Amino acid sequence: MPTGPNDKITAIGKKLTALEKPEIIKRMIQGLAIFCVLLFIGDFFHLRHGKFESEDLFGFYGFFGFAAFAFIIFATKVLKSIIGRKEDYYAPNVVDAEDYPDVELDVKEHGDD
Amino acid sequence: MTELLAPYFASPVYLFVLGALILPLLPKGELRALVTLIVPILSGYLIWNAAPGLHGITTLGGLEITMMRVDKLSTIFGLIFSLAAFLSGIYAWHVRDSVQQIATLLYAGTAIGAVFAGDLLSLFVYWEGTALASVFLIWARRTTGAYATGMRYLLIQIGSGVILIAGIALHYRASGSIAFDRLTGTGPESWDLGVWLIFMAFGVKCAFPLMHNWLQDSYPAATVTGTVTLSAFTTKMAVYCLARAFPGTEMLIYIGAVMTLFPIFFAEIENDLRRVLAYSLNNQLGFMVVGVGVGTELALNGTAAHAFCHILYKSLLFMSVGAVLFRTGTSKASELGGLYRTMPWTMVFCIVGAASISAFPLFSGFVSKSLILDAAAENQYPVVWAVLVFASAGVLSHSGIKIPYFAFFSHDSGKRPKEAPTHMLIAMGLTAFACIFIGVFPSSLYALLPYDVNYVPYTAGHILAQLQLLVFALLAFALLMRYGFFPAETRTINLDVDWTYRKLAPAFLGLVVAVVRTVWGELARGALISVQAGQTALERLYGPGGRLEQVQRTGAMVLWVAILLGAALAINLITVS
Repeated sequence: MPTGPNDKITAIGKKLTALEKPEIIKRMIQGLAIFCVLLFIGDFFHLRHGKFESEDLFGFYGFFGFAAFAFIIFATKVLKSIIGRKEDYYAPNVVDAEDYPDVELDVKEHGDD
Repeated sequence: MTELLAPYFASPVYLFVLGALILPLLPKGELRALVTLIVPILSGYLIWNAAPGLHGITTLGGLEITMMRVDKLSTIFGLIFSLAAFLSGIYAWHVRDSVQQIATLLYAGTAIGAVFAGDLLSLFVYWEGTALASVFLIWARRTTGAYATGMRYLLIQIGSGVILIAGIALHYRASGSIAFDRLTGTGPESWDLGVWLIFMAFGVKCAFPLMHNWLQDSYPAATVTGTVTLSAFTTKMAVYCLARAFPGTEMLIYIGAVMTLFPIFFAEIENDLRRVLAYSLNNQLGFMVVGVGVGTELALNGTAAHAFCHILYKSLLFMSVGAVLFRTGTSKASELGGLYRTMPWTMVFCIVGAASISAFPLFSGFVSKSLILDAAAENQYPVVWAVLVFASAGVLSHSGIKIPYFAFFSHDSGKRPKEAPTHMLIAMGLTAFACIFIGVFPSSLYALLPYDVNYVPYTAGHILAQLQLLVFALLAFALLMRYGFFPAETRTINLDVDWTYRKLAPAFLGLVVAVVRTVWGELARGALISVQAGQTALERLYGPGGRLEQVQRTGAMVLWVAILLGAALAINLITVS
């Protein structure tokens, strides 16, 4: 019988594989969106008394966080195309192109002694 | 004799030196590892119980040396350094390489010595000590790449020490003092060259923008355990020195703001997760430097608190990625993924570190970073404040999400590594516990800060603001990922400032050499041609068949001699008369 990708894993790991199901992922994103809406509603209570006017704008931190994250991701795509290089660009004077020496490691698979 | 040596026993440094001396005498194994645990415990105990004031005062060549200055600022750094050394000792329990063990002891010891130094000369000695000891943690990898990287690291670290000692000498000549105290004077306009050099030396080790790249170059090149140790000391020692000597220097606010900003983008595109963490470390230092620049009691408290929390969660993140490297042989995001299946505990500890650095409420970063942000806002630096808020979202992107996501989730790499060894789990567990404990009971940390704290981090407004920032950013991540906009990790490296001295400078030097060689070659060729031409001319004159070689009659010779003698006689007559 062929072994599946999740046959040889820990008990906690087995439970967590449920998180990889598409419908669960969809539900998690929905949950996150609902949490965002709740946090947004939180601003109705005027809990913040910021040092700057902009801070007290409705949903300021939410918009800021979303926009900042999206900006970072798109900006880095451009950056990588400019400064990205192959791993051996500086070889041999760099560790990136080398394997980590085995003597320092204890590489073992799950289930090994 | 004992009286002469007594001052040197005032600082806990001697414990580390003793430990390093005793360690090789013990049999290889647990006993040696035990020394690396006992020494930091004793050091922490001594620091905790040290009476405030100056101890270990002596004179050296007419200069007053203070080995141990105990106040709240030095104490909090001394304590966290001892704690970091202890935790990394547990993490490195399996290490049987005595070079690494001795280097770790001496490195931690010299860093602790530096924060308790009361004069610039002792500071210099410890400053260089940290450089010399720590490079062995990189060389201990014992590969060509690690050797070259270690050399680059050492050059820059020792270079910073050379700048420091030059600054100290010039400052001593100008002011007659080597006291390690506030050097700000009435602002940078009043600084003599010596003070500027000291400032620059601190800047190199603090990884100021453009001087930062040694950090990202070298830390990922160290051993699994060496990187954890490296992450704790050098840069925070520099932060301490800035807080001690340059509080309230406005320039630092802008330097710090830039430091929080640019590493975000580099971290985001970096493939090696340990280098991602090195960039992230740089970004966290930026927050601390801003705190020093603002320089108010609240801000300096923020810097000290953030350094304390940062050492813990950064160690934790390096430990978890190190454990992955230890078990799989790689820390590259492109090669990892799905490890939660078999390394669930490491995954949980990594997430605790990620939540702490991202400053989620109830985690340590939340109670320390907000001190700095509030200090910047209170002193009306709106742009800097906005940069820090942006950088906070950036921290979530590269350390909060990227590290745990690409190592433990993302696509299934097919790797099924065994869970990290028990001692690593214990080290990570203790560090994670400290991160959460500080987050839940911030007063325990606030009691250690240099100034009295009148600050409440957990207000409804503050929690709501931070959650909005982080959860909306998380939503952005989820959506970008879901719709395929999130860039995949590839086996690449990225150019940074180090390109200038690793590629540009050698290329430029090569060009200079080529130009000089060509010019020299042409000049030499020209000279050769002239010599050859001269030789041909002489040959034509004197050589066989040359004009002067032709056979002359004796009579003609006699005639020429007579003419010459006559001419000489005539000139003589003219000149005498």
